[in-house]
Amino acid sequence: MTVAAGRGLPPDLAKILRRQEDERSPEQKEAVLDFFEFSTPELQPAYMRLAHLRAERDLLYAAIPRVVLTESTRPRITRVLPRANWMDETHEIVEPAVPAFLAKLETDGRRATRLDLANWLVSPQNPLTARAFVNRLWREFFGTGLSKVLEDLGSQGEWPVNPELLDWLAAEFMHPEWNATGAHDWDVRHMIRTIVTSHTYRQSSMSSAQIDERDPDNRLLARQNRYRVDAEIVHDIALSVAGLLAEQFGGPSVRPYEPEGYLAAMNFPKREYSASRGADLYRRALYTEWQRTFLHPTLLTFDAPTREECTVNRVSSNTPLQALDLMNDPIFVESARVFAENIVRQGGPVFDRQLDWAFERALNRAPGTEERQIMKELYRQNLARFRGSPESAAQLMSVGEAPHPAAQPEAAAMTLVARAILNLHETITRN
Amino acid sequence: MKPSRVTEEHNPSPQPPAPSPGERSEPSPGERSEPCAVCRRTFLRNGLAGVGLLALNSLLDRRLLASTGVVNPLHHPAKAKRVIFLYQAGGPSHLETFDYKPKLAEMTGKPMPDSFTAGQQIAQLQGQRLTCFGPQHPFQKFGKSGQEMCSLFPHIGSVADDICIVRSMWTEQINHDPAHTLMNTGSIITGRPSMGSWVFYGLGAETDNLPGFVVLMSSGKGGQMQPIAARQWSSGILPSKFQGVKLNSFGDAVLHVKNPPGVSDAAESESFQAVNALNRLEYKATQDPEILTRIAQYEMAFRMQSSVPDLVDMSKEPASVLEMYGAKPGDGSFASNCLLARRLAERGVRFIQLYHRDWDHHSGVKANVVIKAQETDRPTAALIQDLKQRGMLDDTLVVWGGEFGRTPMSQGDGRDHHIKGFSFLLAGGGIKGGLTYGATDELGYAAVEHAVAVPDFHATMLHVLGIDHKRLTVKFQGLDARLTGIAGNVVSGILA
Repeated sequence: MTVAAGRGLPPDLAKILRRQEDERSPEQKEAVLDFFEFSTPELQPAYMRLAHLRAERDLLYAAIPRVVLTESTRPRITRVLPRANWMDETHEIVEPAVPAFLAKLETDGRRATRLDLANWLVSPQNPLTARAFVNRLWREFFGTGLSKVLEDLGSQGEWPVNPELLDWLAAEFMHPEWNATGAHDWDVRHMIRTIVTSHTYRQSSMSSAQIDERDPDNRLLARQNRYRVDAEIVHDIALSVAGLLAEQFGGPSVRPYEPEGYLAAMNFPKREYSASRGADLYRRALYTEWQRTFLHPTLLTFDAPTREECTVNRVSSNTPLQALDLMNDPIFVESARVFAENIVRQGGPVFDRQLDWAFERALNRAPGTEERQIMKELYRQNLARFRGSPESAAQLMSVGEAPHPAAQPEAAAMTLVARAILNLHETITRN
Repeated sequence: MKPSRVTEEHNPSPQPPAPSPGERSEPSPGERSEPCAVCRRTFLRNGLAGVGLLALNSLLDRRLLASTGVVNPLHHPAKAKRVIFLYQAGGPSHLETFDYKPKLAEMTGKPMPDSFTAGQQIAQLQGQRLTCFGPQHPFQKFGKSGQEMCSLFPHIGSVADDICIVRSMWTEQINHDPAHTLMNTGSIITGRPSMGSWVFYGLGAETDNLPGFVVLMSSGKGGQMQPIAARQWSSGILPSKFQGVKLNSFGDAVLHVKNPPGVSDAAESESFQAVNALNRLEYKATQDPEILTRIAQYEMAFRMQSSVPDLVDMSKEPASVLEMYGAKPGDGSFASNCLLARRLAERGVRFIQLYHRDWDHHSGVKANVVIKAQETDRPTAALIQDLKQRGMLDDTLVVWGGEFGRTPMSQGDGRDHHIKGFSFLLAGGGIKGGLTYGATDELGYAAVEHAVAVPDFHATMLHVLGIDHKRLTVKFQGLDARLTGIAGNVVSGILA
């Protein structure tokens, strides 16, 4: 760069420039750059562009969630607590370690850190992580882990029904070898593919007297298991069958409909609840906002945990509150009505074909003769009822925020059929 | 060795016995039935004639629902069949309710003697100068038994001879939530079952139209209302069907108990029938016993659609009864809930828990206790009287109390949380009336005579229900875990 010596140069700057570059302070360097920017108008577009890029970069950085991690520089003294009495300070001082019967952290005498623990958790010397994970994964596809007590693979858990298989799966997870093209170590997708393409997974869930007698809990998997899907899936199935499910990925939590006053037992501060609008009402239940100890009642009713303590294995209850919920909760009524609108629109003009379409969509099969008869009767009676009372049809067809066409008695009657289908044991059961 | 079936008890669906032909009969005449449920059920039977909808009779389903519990037969003869727990949440001051301390009155304004408080855990007063704070309201004697109670509670005084005052309760937890957790579950660690679910699990229910464990909640007018977590009525490690069902004070008492808009009762009924008819076909095809449970639960849900509105409809209660409780139907008050509790008891609900909030009087204890007395005195007495005149007090245990007491030391013009001594009222089945049991020291600080720990109360409650708390267990983590935890002794001194 050349600057005509002395001309137009502020005296302060001239003074700075007389110094060697490496002798200038950061402020002085900045002053030189500032003056350069000021005195070179031909570079202004480039400077503008640079400023834009910097702003964009800062925005991007700001959008990245940060994990705040603190580590005490002087670790607190940790003692063995006799009978868990934390006020007793007489027992021996202990250092970070993993359970001695499992392993020893190799740290060359250095105090172990959380990084040492993390490395050990996924090291080939430690089969527990992979074993616990694949056991948990097994539960997703068979309803029960190979060891039933998912949260405890130790002595208070359950000896696995097939320890060789559990170990094979664990080894396969850590380092895939079976049909492993394209798979990498710790590849969850590879494990899922391996399980769902297995013969065991693809069996029918139909039982026989012989199987029931020899293995009443079906732990040996001579057939597939039947079990009610988890709370979130109960919700998602209804929305998905209806065609309401908003399959957007990620983003902030959403607030589905919630009964008024549901949070009245809370305080400090008092909770006001207002439901989301539009597509956020129809997201997967996974995205529902959690109010700890008072989680959304629909999820609670179907056994989602309250998140007060870590819950690995959910119980699966079967209660009248679930029936009332699936029958009458606005989100399920709305699902039924939108499902019905689709049935009427897409199933053709004849009831039998409509029912075929509905069964195919919800249950992936055609209705049986008796089922057809029962549903036809439900439809017939209620069609007559709604024809006689168009205002009832209009009320039913306006449940929920989803747009609704002018209410037709046919769609209203079909809504009750759709609701019955969404309430079937089969609909919320993984067969 | 056979692997232990650790979570076996978690199986939520009882495996029903295969229906034998004999079981497909009409319900036996001895069965409890309510007019409304019957007409609804008759309707259900006659609704879609000819489709063969009710191949499985309700009798089978009833077995699943109105079942006896795991304590069958009872460990010893029961004195009470059910519990109504009037839970005064926030920590009522024993010193302005049921524990008279004239010596504390004398000491007002003087320093609290160190001998009482040295090394003790206190809450917000920790590290502050501790000053004696005498009873803010006078006490008087009530009934033939001459029980001493605060004169703000004349109605409870009027049933003094039916009541046992336990003045020697103590707890371990000084903050609301863990103290509630200890009171409800016997443990300070969350995740254990609550006492309502113990009793439901142990004894089953006497109704198949309502849940066996019902929770009601009301709020006071004072404003200091601590939240109550739903975990307080959770079933913890017990199957979730034993959890408490909270009836809402406003809106629908049970969530989604009403038909959707535009759906008539007939349409609702036909819908339930259609679902169950298809589920029966599914059962025929698969023999999956879980489907039978599902069918039974849909039947119960359908019955609840009439039994719940019938339960909360107080229009047929005589004006004199409403007047006795001081209840205005639909106001969600403690009074209305007390009346509702009696109706729940009549209908066979096993454990009824009423939370009344707003007893947390860190300041203004004098004025605030007046408000609480107005809210709770009359309804509590009315409930006891009402049960008595219906012959139900003999087999109902009524409990009145909170998670802890309040300090004899002042916190401004209020009192801090206090765990070493507080009072409970018990009345009804198996309990000696007209008795004041146990005592705190002369300043009302610590329970010194016949001290009753929370687990002792639990043991006693279960005892009058015919349950030995040491034998009420569930398989958990390889152990027969006692639901009450490992502590607790029956307080035989208060038993009738």
